Amino acid sequence: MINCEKFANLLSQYIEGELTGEQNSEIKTHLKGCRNCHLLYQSTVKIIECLPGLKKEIPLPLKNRLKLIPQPEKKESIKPNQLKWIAAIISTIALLLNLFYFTNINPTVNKVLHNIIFGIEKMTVKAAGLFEEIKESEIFSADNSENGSENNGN
Amino acid sequence: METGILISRLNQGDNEAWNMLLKRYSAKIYNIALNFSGNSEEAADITQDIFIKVYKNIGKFEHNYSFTSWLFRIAKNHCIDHWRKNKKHKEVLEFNEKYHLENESAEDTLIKTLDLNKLRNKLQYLPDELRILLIMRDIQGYSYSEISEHLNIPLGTTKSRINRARIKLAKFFIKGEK
Repeated sequence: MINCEKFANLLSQYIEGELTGEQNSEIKTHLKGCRNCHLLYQSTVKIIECLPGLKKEIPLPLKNRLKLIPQPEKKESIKPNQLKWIAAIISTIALLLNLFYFTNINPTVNKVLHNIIFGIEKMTVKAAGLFEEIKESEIFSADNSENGSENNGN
Repeated sequence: METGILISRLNQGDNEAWNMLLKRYSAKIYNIALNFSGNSEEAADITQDIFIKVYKNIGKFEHNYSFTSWLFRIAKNHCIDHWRKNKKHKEVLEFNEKYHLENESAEDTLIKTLDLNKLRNKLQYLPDELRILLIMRDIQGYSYSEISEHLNIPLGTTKSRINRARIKLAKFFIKGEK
């Protein structure tokens, strides 16, 4: 004879026809005499019948959302969060350069920065001088050509 | 197309392979998420998150492993994580405590007709591990051995958990509305 606990343990196997003939008849006998187990059996059968009805089609908007998943990965654009970090790094570097240039916290770095700035200034002056020379030579050649044409006219 | 080839093409950035993968698995994952969460909007978000995880980690997938098992484990873990982060589970725990305190004698409320929404709602009151197994067996129609393989749970444990899940769910109805 089986009790209610054993019946519960074998319930799915009984419903799915996986028990031996002897176990089956034991369960049938138990079900005849136990109202609670009979109710549990009928309810479980009904639930197993109804559960496949919970299967649903995937909604179209979700289908489209899923199709778009690979696309953001392809774009290698800078994200707003990354932009913030880049701006922060540039600002920090600028701040440090100013600090080392205008104060003498680290004399070596200060000297190097002054040398770089001096070099840039020298190059700017040289370039300006060169530019002026080119300009003057152009004016000079223009004057010469004008004088030449006047002399030919006389 | 074989899943292995599909994954290789996916790793090469083939969009068509991604669409084929969705065609094959998205409805299955959506149905797990829907019946796990009991809410279609939440299920859509969960499904999307699962597929984002799949897409990001597809390169880490080992080809000697079953893709379906890999996918279902991601889905299962994500559903359970989502459920635990969500406040809902607290309400369910309260419900279960209340439920256990009730008189054990069954009322004569045999289910003659079952409202599917009510059934989906009651499903939410099952413990996570039992719910996922019941969804895979009785809603998705997987065999015990497939579930055991996909979720890496011994066959005997799979069978006994599904039996427990069915009994618990049946008792929710027998013992009346909550």
